[in-house]
Amino acid sequence: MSRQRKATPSARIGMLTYHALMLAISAVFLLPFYWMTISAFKTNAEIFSNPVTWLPDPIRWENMTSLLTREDFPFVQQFVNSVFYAGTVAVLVCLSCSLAAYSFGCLRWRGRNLVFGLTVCALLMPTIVTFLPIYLAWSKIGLTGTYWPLITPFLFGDAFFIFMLRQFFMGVPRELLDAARLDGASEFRIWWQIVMPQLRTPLIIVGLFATVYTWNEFFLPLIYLQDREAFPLSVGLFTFQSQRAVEWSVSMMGAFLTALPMVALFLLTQRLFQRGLSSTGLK
Amino acid sequence: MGMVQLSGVRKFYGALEVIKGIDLTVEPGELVVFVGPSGCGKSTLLRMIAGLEDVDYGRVEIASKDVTEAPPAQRGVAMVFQNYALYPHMTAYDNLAYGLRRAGLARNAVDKRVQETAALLQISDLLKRKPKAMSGGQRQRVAIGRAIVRKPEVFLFDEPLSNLDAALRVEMRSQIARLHQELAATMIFVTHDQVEAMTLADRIVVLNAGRVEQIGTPREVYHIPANLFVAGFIGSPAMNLLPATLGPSGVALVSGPVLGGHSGTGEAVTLGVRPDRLTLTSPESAHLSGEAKLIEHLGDETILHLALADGGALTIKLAGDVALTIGARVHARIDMVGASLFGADGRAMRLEGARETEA
Amino acid sequence: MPITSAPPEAAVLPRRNRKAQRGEARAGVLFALPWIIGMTLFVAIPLVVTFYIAQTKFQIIGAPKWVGMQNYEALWSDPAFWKSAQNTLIFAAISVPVKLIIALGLALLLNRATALSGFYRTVFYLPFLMPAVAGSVVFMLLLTPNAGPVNIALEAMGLNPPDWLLDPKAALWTLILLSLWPLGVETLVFLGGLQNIPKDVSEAADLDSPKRWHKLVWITLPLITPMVLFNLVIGIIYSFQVFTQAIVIGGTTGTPAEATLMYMVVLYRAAFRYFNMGLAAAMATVLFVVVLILTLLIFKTARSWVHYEGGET
Repeated sequence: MSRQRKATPSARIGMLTYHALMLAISAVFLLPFYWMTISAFKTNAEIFSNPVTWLPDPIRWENMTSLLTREDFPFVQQFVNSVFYAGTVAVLVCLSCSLAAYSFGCLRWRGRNLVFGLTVCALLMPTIVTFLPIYLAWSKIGLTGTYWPLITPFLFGDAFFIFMLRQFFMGVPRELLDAARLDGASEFRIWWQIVMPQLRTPLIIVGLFATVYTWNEFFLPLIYLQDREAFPLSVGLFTFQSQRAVEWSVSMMGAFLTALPMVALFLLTQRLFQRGLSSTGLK
Repeated sequence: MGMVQLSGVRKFYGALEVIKGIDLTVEPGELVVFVGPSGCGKSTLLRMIAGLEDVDYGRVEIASKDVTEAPPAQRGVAMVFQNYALYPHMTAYDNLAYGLRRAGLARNAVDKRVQETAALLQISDLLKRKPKAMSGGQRQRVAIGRAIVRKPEVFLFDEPLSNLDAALRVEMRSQIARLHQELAATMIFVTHDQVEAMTLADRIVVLNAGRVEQIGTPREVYHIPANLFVAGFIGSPAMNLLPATLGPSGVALVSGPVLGGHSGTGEAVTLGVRPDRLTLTSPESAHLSGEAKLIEHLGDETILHLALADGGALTIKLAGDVALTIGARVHARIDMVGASLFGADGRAMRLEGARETEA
Repeated sequence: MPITSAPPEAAVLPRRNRKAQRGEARAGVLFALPWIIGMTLFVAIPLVVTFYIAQTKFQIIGAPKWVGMQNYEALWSDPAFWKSAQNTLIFAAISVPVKLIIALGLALLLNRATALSGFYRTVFYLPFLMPAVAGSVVFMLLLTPNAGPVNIALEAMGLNPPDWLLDPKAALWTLILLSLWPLGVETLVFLGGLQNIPKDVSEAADLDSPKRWHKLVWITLPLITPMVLFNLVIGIIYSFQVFTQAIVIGGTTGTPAEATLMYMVVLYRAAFRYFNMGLAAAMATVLFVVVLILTLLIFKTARSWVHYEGGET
């Protein structure tokens, strides 16, 4: 593809057209981000100025301080909640899913294909079909309003991440497990000392995905949590926006600060992310 | 050094029998090579000895202990795998030490054993490296080191050289042969490469479809194949297998010429002749004639592929560079010394004083 | 093990224990056990209980009361159910295929190495990272009638833009349009597929025919059909459950005029506004059946259009 060739004039025009097209598409994709960012640093009146202004002038830093001190939008508390929620789920997912993925990807046992088939079914099962009884059970135990219902399921695993991790576990050569068996390692030790250390990168990838999914999760925290102080950012932002629809500058600052950590995390680790994606694909 | 004894060993995958009752004794200090076409069960058999696959019927003994149901680590075996199977996240040192630590050896005892082994294999300067930072040959040496360090009764090699390039393969082959001598260790080596089998083995076990076809020294297997399968499998280019009958005056080719030797009552047999046991001759004294279809000039030898008149094929290996062109009519004579004769059941028959009588 | 194939000497040589195999199998089950329990607790049992609740009158407080098919009858005559089902179907039927086509197009465009490739990939992927709530809020601002930047720009170009999310006729289509924005995952899955096409296959195709579209139709597309299947199934299942964007933009009533009222929103409303668990469960059951049938249909037809290499796994 990238073979060195003497660029003929027509090839150069082709290249220019290509980049012009791609940059135009990129602009469309980036516009919402850009608009969110500049609006976060404008007053309400400036946001709706006509003609549009492309840069905030002056930069309204006070939007940030006012957001952080508002009582009807406890942003800092909700940010901490989100970090706790996403972080805990990410760690749990890495541990619990790697157990099942190891079993499906590396070990041979009767019934394995059946259980894995059921896992794929669980992966395709819409949440909406199963969440009601689970909700009712949690409310019976009296744990709605806490993070227990949101976190506990990941103690057992998650179909999507098991599916994703299994691809990586399948790449571990069987001979390596055999070598460890000859060396006298127990099955648990093989998992922990031989297989897991090799899959550090895939585990980080899965942890990152779990972080993003959980950070952006909306429906489950919405139904389980009642207090503003307990909300993660996604629900907090929704609640604020639906109650104070006219305060656009605060909403935009909220959206900006909600999106920022994930964008930053992604930019720092994007190589890993993209590797993970090409492996979610198939088979 | 341990003896390995298999008696009546069988294995099933579901209803499919993949190892069909094998009896075999590997003497202490012997190097035995399992050869056979892919799918013949040679690797499975090795893995059964290692304890990585279960034995369904029969008994496996190592150093006179029944280990049929013992876990791999308690059998006194060590294995070298085809793809090295080094732990990629560990240094060479840790790769060597891992099994010793599992066996509960004290720290300084582990260190001593690792250093000794490294010195023996000249990999001391590699100990701090991880497999990724080593060449193929270095990895192979570390993999062998991991086996040696455990001082096993028996070494098992599962096609360990097939991933190396040709030059390195030759070098590693001689290193394994040297180790075998230095350690006087019992070794079982699986390969599909005949040259490896012929050069390394004290004895060769030829396997086919889960059965032993022949056990013998390399020379026995080459010169006195026990049956048609071994005759066709061992040797490259392969032995010519010519349909013949046993007449009153000896072996007669279907195409006419009588070669003498062994006499019989007209039963159908197969005559096996190695390609180098054929010589070019004049039309009058020829046993076989055909048209040259393919000529391989290898420099020091020439390999002729002939199409015979009766539709059969014949391969002739001639010393030196023989000037012939495709399409040429070639006449060949069979040297009955070293020829083999197989009955209708495929088993070898003894050729009595296989001397040719004039036709 | 079939005893019939055991030989006579099996009587002499006893059957051996399959220690290695059993050890591995035991480990396999143990490692999978937490997940097997999880699947039972959080998928299998709830699924069955949902079917049960769907046949009861249940208001959270008090015990569920068996009412048979009453909830389904109530659904049948509920205009909100039909309206939301219609909206959701239109949404899924347009959003999913359009998104796949655009994602495939972008993946094809991305499938060449240039100095800016990394940048483009990042840009296309970013929307996926935007929390759906935040993204929806931003679009509400961008598409504000009259005063929003999009309409200001369109009016400046002499066009007469719609009121987007506030116009009952346009709101659903706007929602569909917005759902196309986060297509980074689909694009990168396709791109992964394209980059897995072996170089020699691709070059052989170049030699066979100089026309680019020949290669696209006969080589490239067939080889990425597994990715199409993956994206299609996941896309349909997720778009049937579209919730966040719908509730941020249209609230629980699907403003304007129920134009953005989605199935999941109505279900949520039934369960957590009216505490009618029976009705919500009935809706969940209906959705389950529809998704099941659709998925089975797709997998059934997949045999004829999905190319599997080697057929492994």
